[in-house]
Amino acid sequence: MRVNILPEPIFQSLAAGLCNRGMLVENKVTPQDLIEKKIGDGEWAQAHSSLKDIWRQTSTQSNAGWISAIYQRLRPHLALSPVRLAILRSFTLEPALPLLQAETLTSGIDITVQVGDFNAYVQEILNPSSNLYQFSPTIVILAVQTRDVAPELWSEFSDLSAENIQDVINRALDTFRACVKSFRANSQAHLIIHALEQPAAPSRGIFDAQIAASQTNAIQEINRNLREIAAAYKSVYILDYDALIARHGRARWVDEGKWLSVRMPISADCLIHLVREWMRYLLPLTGKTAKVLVVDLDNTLWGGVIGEDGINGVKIGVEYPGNAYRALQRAILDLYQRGVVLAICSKNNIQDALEVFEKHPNMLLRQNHFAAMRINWQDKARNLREIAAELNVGIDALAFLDDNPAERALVREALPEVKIIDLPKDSARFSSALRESPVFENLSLSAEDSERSRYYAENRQRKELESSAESIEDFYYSLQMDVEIEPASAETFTRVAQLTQKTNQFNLTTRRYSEQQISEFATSPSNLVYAVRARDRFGDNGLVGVTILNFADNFCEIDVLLLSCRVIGRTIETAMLAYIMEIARSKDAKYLRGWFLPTAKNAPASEFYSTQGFRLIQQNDAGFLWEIGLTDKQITSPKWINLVRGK
Amino acid sequence: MDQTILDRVRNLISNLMRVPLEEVTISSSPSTITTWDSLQHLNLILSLEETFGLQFSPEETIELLNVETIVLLIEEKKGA
Repeated sequence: MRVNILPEPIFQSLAAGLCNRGMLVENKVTPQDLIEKKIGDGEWAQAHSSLKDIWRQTSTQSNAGWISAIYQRLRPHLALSPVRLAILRSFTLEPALPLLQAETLTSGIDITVQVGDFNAYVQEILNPSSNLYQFSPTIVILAVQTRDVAPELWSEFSDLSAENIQDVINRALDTFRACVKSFRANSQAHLIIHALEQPAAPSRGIFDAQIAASQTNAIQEINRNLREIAAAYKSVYILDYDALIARHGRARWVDEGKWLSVRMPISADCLIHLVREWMRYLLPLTGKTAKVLVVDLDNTLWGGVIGEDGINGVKIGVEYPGNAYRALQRAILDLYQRGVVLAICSKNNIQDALEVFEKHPNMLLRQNHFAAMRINWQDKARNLREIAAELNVGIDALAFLDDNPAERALVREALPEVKIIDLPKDSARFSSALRESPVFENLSLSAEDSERSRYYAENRQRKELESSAESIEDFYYSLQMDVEIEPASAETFTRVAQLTQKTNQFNLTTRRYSEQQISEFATSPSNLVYAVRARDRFGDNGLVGVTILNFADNFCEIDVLLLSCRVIGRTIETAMLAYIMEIARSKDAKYLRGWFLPTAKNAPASEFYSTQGFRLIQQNDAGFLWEIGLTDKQITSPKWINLVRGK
Repeated sequence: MDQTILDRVRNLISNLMRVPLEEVTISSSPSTITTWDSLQHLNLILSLEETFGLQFSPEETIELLNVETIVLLIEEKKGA
C-alpha cells in the first residue's frame, strides 16, 4: 500500500531523483527512504525540512515514533534549542508525549521532558526539594482540569448553596495562589497554567445561563482571578484551555470512556491539538517566532492580477469576492499593530503594483505599512534573502504569505528556514488561516513592540532620502533630528536594561545589566545613567541609546555607551559624547575615559574613540582603554542635531 | 486467525514495548513482557485504534489480555 504523505509535485521530483540512482522500486518508496537518502548524502538541513513537512501532513503516533528516532542521528548536525520541560498534571497525558517530541524536534527545539506524578502537582510545587525542582526545568506546564481542581463545581454543583459556591471558588484560588508563590520562590522557569474549562452540559441546563450564581460564572470567576494571579509575577502565563476545547468542539474533545477507565479525558485524535497549543507558548519562549511577514500581492492582498485586470479589475472591497481579501488585509494590519514588520515580495511591474496602494480606495494596507519591497521579476527566494539582509534579520525571522502553492513549495525547498503560511484554496478562509498561525505568537507586548513595525516602515523612507541627498551632511540636515538625553527613571529602567541586553553592534563595552542593576546605578552617588531618545521628520524612534557613567577621583569613566542599530550612522553618538563631556565637566572631572572591548559583533564601534580624538592609554587581552582631557578638546554636538537636555 | 492483522499487532507491540519481534507470540501478555505496563497498555490501545481505524469501549480494553484476544477482537470488529 503506497502512502502518499508528501505533496505530489515534491514527491515526484524527489522520486525522479531517486529513480536516477536506481533506488526507486515501484510503489515501495516510503518517506523514510527519502529521508535516509538525504541523511546518507549529509543533507542535514534538507532532511530536517522534509521531516517537518512529513510531520505537518501526517501527525500520527506511528510517524512520531520514527521521526523522533531519526533526530537522534540528526541532532549533532543541527543547532536545536534545548528546553527542560516539566509537565505537572492532574490527568493522564503520556500519549501526547511522542507527538510533542516530533512537534518540537521538527520545530528546532530539543526538549528533555519530565512528567510529574499523577495528580501530585501541589505537593511537587510546594516542596522545595521535589523532583520538579531537582529537574531544574526552564519551562513548566501545569495541566489541570476543573474536575480535579474544583470537583464540587464540576459534578456536584447542584448540591451547592450560593455560600458553598463562593467557598469552593476561594479554596481553588487559594491553592493556585500558594502554588504560584511557592513556584516562583523556588524556580525562575516560565510557568504555563491551564485555566479551567466549562462542562459540556451545565448542571442546570439552559437555566444556568439565566442566573448570576451559575456554574459557568463560578468557573469564569476562578479564571478571572487566576489571570490576575499570573499577572502579579514575571513569566507566569495562562493557557485558555476552555477556548482550545471550544475551537475543536467540546463534544469531540472529551473521551468520557477513556477518562473513566484510564483517567485520560482527551480523545486520542485531539491530543495533537493540545500539543500544538503548547507549541504556541514554546515558540515565543525559545525565540522561534517570525519577526517579518512577507506578502505576495496578486490573489493574496487582492483578487485578480493587477498587470492583467488593471486597477478597476482587481477585487478588493466590502462586497464579495473583494471582502475576503479585505479581511486578510485586516488580519495583516492586526499583526502590524502587534509589532510584526511587513514586507512585499511580488512578481509585477512596480508601477502597476504601487498604483493599487496609492489609488485604490478600498485598500486597508498602504505603502507606508511596509518596511521593504521587492516588486520585480526575479525569483522569490532571492528576493526573500535580499529582504532579510535589508531589514538586518536572519532568514528564519521571515514568514511568507502567498496564495500560489508552487511559489510556497519553491521557497520551502530553497529556504527551509522561512516560515510558510499555508493558505487554503478558498480565499474566504485566508484571514482565519493567517490569524490561526502560531508563528507570530507573543507573550509580551511593550510599547516598543507596537511601534516597531512603524519604525521599520519609516526607515524605508529615510533610506530613500539618503540615496537622493547630495551629500551626507545634506542628508543629516534633511532628517531634522531631535536627540533628547535624560536621566534614566523608573519608567525607563526596563527599556534601558533591555537595550544593554540586546544591543550588539554599536556597543563599546557590551556589559549586560538587569533592571535591578540599572536601578542601583541610577541611585548610586558615584554613577549616572542616561537614556537617549531620537526623533526625526519621519517619526519617533523611541528610546535608542544608553550611557552609564562612573565617577571616581577626577576621572569620569564611560561604563556603557550604546546605540540601537536602528539609528547607527547618523552621528547621534557624537551628540551623546558631547553631552557626556558637559556632564563630566560639571562634576569637576578632569579626564574622560572609556574602554572599547571588542566582540564578534561590535566592529562598528571600534574606531569611535580614536576618531573623536581620544588617546589610547592602555591595551590588554580584553580591549583598549581610551582617554581624553576635559580641557584639551571640545567635542561639540553636530549642528544638524537638535540636542535636548532632559531634566 | 488473520495473519496480516497478527503481524501488524506483533509489530506494534514489538515497537512499543521495545522487544524483538521474534519474542512476540500469540500468548504474549503483560505477564510475559516486563515492559508491558499500564502506560504502554494505554499507548497500545491508542495505536491499535489509530492503525485499524476502530474504537475500543472501556469493557473491551480490559479484555485485551494477550496478543491472541487482541487479534480476535480486531477481527470481530472489522468483520462486523
